[in-house]
Amino acid sequence: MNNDMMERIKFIVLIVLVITSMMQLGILWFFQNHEIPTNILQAFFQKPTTQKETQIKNYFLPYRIVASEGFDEAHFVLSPGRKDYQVLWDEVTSYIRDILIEGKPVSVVQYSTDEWAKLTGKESFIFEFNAPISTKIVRGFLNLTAVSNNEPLYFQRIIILPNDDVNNDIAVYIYDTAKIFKYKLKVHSSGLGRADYEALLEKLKGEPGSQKFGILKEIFPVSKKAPFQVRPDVPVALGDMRQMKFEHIIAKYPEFIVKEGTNTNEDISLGARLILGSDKESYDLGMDSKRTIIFKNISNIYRIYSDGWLEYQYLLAGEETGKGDELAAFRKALEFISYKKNCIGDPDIVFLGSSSEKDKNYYTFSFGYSYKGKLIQISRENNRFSQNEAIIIKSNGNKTIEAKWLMRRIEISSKQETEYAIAFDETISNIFVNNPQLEKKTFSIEDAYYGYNMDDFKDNQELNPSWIVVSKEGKVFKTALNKADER
Amino acid sequence: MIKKICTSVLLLVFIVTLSMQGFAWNRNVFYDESTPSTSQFLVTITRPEGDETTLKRDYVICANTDVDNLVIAIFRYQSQSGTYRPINGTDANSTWEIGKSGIVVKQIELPRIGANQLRVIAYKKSEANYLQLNYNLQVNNYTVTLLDSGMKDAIKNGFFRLSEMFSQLWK
Repeated sequence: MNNDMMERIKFIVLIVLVITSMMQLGILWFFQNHEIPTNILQAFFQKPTTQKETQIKNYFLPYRIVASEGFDEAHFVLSPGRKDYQVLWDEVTSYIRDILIEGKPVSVVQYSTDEWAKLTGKESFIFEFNAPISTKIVRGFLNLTAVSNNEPLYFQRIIILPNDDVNNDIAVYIYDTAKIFKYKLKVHSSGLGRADYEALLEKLKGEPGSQKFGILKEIFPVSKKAPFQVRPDVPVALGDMRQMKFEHIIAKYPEFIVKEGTNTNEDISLGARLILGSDKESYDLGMDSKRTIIFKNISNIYRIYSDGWLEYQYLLAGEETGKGDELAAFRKALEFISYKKNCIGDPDIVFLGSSSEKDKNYYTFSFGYSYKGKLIQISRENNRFSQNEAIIIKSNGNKTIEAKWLMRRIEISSKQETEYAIAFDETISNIFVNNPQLEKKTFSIEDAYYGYNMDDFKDNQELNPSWIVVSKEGKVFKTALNKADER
Repeated sequence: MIKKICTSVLLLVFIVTLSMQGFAWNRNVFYDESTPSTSQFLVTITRPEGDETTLKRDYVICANTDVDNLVIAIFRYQSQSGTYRPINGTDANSTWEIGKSGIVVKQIELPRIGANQLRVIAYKKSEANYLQLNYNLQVNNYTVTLLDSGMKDAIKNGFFRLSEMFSQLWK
C-alpha cells in the first residue's frame, strides 16, 4: 500500500515537473512575454513568425524603360507594372548577369552628350535608374560573387541596340556616370531576338491610346543652338501628345499618429505594435508634450512626430568601427524598411541612390515613394528634416544606425482620373514662370519625368500631378500640371 | 513763290507716299512668294535647321528666343494661289505667342509628299501694325521634303536582307 502511495506520489510529482518544465519552456520561448503562460501550446500550433525575407530584387528596377524607333520616330515610355516592362527587364537582367560574370567590353569610351546622342538616335531600348547603383550592389541583387576586370563602377543607364550588329549578336551599352561600356553578347536561345524587339515596337505603335513621346534631340538637333544644355534622349511630350491621365492620390498619416482628442495610450500601443513588433516589451513607451511618441531602450530610440516623420537612432553608434561592406549595409537598410513599411499599407518604395563619405562609419541610402511607376517627389521646403527624399537610412555592415522616414499611406481618392496638359513648351514655360530668377544659361535638363509632388505635409494631402526636371547639378525643378480642360 | 509752294507740296506727297508704301508692304510680306529669308535675329529656329527630308507627315517646328513679347506663325506655299498661306498646328492655331521660357514647339502636318515650302515668321507683338523686315519682322523659308513611307520600308527591308546575308556568310 505504501509502495502504491509512493508510486502515485512520484507519478504526480513527475507530471507536475513535466508541466512546469513546459511552462518554463513557454516562458523562455516568448522571453519577455509576461502574460500567464497558459498559451504555451500556441507556440507549437501557431504559424512561426519568420523574419521577413528582404526582397532585395524588388529594389533593382529601372524607373523607366524607353522603347525607341530612333531619331524622329516614336518613343514609348514603359513604366513598372506593364507586362512588356517585365519581359524587357528580365531579358536585360540576364545580359547584366553575363556581363558581370565574364563580360569583356568591346570598347570603353568617355561619356559625352554627342556620343550618347549617337546611340540613342538609333532603334533602341533604354533602361534608366533614378540614381547610379554601384556594381557591388548590383551583384548583390543578382546573387553574384565573382568580380571581373574592367567592369563599370555603376549602373545608371543601359541601352540595348538590337540592330547594331550584322550578326545575331546584341549590343549592350552601360553608362556608369563617367564612361560608356560596350558589350556584344550572344542572344540567349530563349531570349528576345531582333524580330521580337521589332514586334514589340509594332505592338506599342498599334496599342489603342498609345502615347508617343518625342526626345529633346528632336527639338534641339544641334546642341549649340539649344538655349540650355540638355540630355538628348530625355522623353518629352511633343506634337499630338498634349495630355496625360493621372489618378488622384492622397498621402495620409499612419494610423498611430497621436491626434488631438484621441486616446493617446491606444495610439502609442498601436504604434509600438506596428513599429517594434515582438520587440516592444523591451522598450519604454511614452509621449512628450508635443505629441511625439517615443520608444526607447538602452541602445535604440524611435521618435514618431505628430506630422508623421519617423526618426530612429542607434544610441551606441559611436562604438561602431568601420562601415563594412556596402552590400551588407544595403541589406540592413532594406531590412529596416521591410520591417516597418507594413504599418503604412505596404506602399511602393523605390531606391533613389547611395553615398558614402570617407571618414564616416556608415553608408547613406535614399528611398522614395512611387505610385504605379510615377515617383512622388518630396519638397525640401516646409519639411521637418529638409530632405528631398522620403526615406534616408544610414547603415553599416552590422546594422542601421540612423533613419529619417516620412511615413505616409498612399491611397487613391474617390475622384475620377483627370487629363492634364503635358506639352513640353507649356511645361517648360511654367518652370521659368515658377522660378523667375532662373536663367537659361545656367539651366539644364539632365532628366525629366511626370510624377506627383508633395509640398505640403498635412494629413490627407492630395498630391499634385507634376512635371519634374532634374538639372545636371542635381537640382530639382517642378511644375504642377494644369488640367487639360482648364487651359 | 508758286513754284516753291508746289515743290514743297510735292516733296510732302513723296514723303507721305513712301511711308504709305511701307505700311502696305507689312502683311504682303507674309504671303509674297518672293520674300527672302532674313537672319535669325528674333528667334533661333532649331528645327528645321535647313532644308530637310523626312519620312513623317507630322513635322515639329522648334524655335527659341530671349526676346520678350514675340509672336510666331507658320505658313506654307500653295502653288494654286502662288502665295504662302497660314497653316494650322495640331492645336488648331496658326499663330502663337512665345511663353516665358522662350521655347516654341509646334507640330504641323505636311500635306503633300514631296517638297513642302514652309515659312516661319516671327515678329514683335507690340509692333504688329508697323512691321519691317530685318527690323522687327523675321522671315525664314525652308523646304521640307516628305518621302513616301514606302521608302522607309524599302530601306528597312534592305537593311535586314543585307544583315541576313552577312550572317549567312559568317556562319
